[in-house]
Amino acid sequence: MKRLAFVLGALWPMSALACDGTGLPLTSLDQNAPRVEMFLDDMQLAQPFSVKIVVCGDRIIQKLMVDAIMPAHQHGMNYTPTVINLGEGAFRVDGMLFHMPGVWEIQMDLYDQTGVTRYTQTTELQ
Amino acid sequence: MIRGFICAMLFWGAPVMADVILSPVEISQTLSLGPWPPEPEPDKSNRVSGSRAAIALGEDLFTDPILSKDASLACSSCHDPAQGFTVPVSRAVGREILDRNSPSVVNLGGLRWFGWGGKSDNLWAASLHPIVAEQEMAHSAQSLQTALSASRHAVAYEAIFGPIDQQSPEAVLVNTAKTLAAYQEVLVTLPTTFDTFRDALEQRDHVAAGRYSESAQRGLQIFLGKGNCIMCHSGPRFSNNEFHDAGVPYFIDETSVDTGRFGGLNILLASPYTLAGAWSDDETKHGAWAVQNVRQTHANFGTFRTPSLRGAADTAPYMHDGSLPDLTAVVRHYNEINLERMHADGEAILQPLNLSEAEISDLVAFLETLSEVPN
Ligand code: HEC
Ligand code: HEC
Repeated sequence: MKRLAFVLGALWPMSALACDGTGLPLTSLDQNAPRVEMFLDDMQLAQPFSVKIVVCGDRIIQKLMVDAIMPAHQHGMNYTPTVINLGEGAFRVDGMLFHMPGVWEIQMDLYDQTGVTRYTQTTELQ
Repeated sequence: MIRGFICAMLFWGAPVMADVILSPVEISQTLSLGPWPPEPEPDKSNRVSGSRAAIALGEDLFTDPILSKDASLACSSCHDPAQGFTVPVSRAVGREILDRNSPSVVNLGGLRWFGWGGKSDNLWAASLHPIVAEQEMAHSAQSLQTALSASRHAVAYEAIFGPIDQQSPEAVLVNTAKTLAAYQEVLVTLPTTFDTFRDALEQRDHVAAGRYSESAQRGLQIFLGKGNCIMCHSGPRFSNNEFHDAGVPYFIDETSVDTGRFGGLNILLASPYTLAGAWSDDETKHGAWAVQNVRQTHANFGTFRTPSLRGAADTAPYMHDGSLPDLTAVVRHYNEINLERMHADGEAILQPLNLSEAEISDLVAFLETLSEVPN
C-alpha cells in the first residue's frame, strides 16, 4: 500500500492536482458550473502531451470529454485524446497533439447528473 | 595598447561580414529549428534496431534486386544512395509508373508517420510495403523466403534471426524489413550552414552568425514571417509530420485522384504491421497511441505529409507527385497558390504571398542552406 502510494506520487505529484488556483481556469457560460483547473505543463509543438484537469467541489462526475480546435484554421486535432479518471475530481488527458503553432481552444464537456457542461480555454503555442 | 592592436588586426583581417538582421522573436523561432542532428533513439518496435549486423545486412539488401520477385528492382532503384536516396523522376517507376514521387529515405528515425499518406506508423512497415506491393517489387512472403534462403544473404540472416526455414514466410518478410529499417535509421543528413548559423545564434556568437549570407537571412525571415512556412515546416526536421493540403492538384489523371491521408489511414487501420500489432517487438507498445487514436475525417482527403526540408535541395523534383522541378518552382507555387484548388473545408493558411522576384530568390537561397554542408 505504501509502495503504491509512492509510485503514484512519483508519477503524479498530488500537490499539483489540488484545486488551489495554481492551474489555468477553464471557463463555462453556466454560472453554476463547478470551478475547473487545467495544468498544461509539457505542451510541445507537434508532439503528444498530457493535460491534467481538476474539477473542484464534490460533484460526482460521470464522464469527461476533452478536445481542441484552432479557431483560425477551422480544424481540430488529428487524434482523439484519452481521458483517465484519477479519482477525487482529478483527470489526466493523454494524447493531446497540437500540430501547428498558434491559438488553440481547449474544449471540455463535463457529464454529471445535471447534464453536460461545456468549458473552454484558449492557449497559444509558439 | 597591444590588445587594441590585435583587435584592429582581427577586424581588418576578417572577411566582410553581414550582420544578423533577425529580430529577437525571429531568433527564438530560428532556435526552434534545431539543434541538428537529433539524439538517435532506438526503435523499440524493432528488436534489431541499432544492431550492427542488422544494419550491415539491411545495407546489403537495400541495393540487391533479390527483393523483387523478378529480380528487376532494388530499393535503390527508387532510393539511390548516390542521388540523395531518391531518383530524379517525377513519379516512381516500378513495374508500372506509380502515382507518387519517391521520397528520400534519410532522417526517418523517430517519425510518427511514413509515406506521403502516412500508411505506416513505423519504419519497418514502410520498408515492408514495397517488397510485396504488386506494382513495386511484387514478392509474396513465400517467394521472398525462397529467394533469401537460396541467396548469399542467408548466412547473415540466420546469424541474426536463426534458421530461415524454421520461420514462417511472414516472419521472414517482417525480419527482412526490420534489417532494412535498421539500416535506414542511421541515414542522417549532416549539420548544414543553416545549423552553423542557428547554433551561433544560440551561443550569442554574432560574429559567426554574421557569416550566414544576408540573402539567406532575408529568406529565413520570409519563411518565419509572411510566408507562414513554419506553420507546417516546423522543428529541427522542418516538418510537423502531419498532413496538409499544400494546393498541389490531387488528380492522377482525368478519372482518378490520389486520396492522400484518407487512403493512407485506411491502409494503416487495416494493417497488421503497426505499433499496436503483434509484429511490434515492443511489449509496452510505445507509440501505439497514434494509430489507436488517430481520426479519420473527410478533411483528410487529398492531404499529404509535410515533407522535411533538410537535404531537399538535392532531391528534386518536388511534391507527392513530383510535379515541381526545382525549389524556385515550389516557392512560385506558394507565391501564386491557386485557392480554388484548395479544399472547401481546408485550413485557410495558405494564400498568395505576393513576393517580389528578389524575395523569391532569398527564400530559395535560405532553403538551399538546409542542404549545404560547410567544409
Ligand atoms: C518503384 C520505386 C520504389 C521502390 C523499388 C521502393 N520504393 Fe520506397 N518509396 C517509393 C515511393 C513512391 C514512396 C512513397 C510511398 C507512399 O507515399 O506511400 C516510397 C516510400 C518509402 C518510405 C517512406 C519514406 C517517407 O519519407 O515516409 C520508405 C522508408 C521506403 N520507401 C523504403 C523502401 C525500401 C526499404 C525499399 C526496398 C525494399 C523501397 N522503398 C523500394 C518508391 C519505391
Ligand atoms: C499548410 C502547411 C504548409 C505550409 C504553410 C507550407 N508547406 Fe510546404 N509542404 C506542405 C505539404 C503538405 C507539402 C507536400 C504537398 C504535396 O506533396 O501535395 C509541402 C511541400 C513542400 C516542399 C517540397 C518538398 C519535397 O521534398 O517535395 C517544399 C520545398 C516546401 N513545401 C516549402 C515550403 C515553403 C517555402 C513554404 C512557405 C512559403 C511552405 N512550404 C509552406 C505543407 C506546408
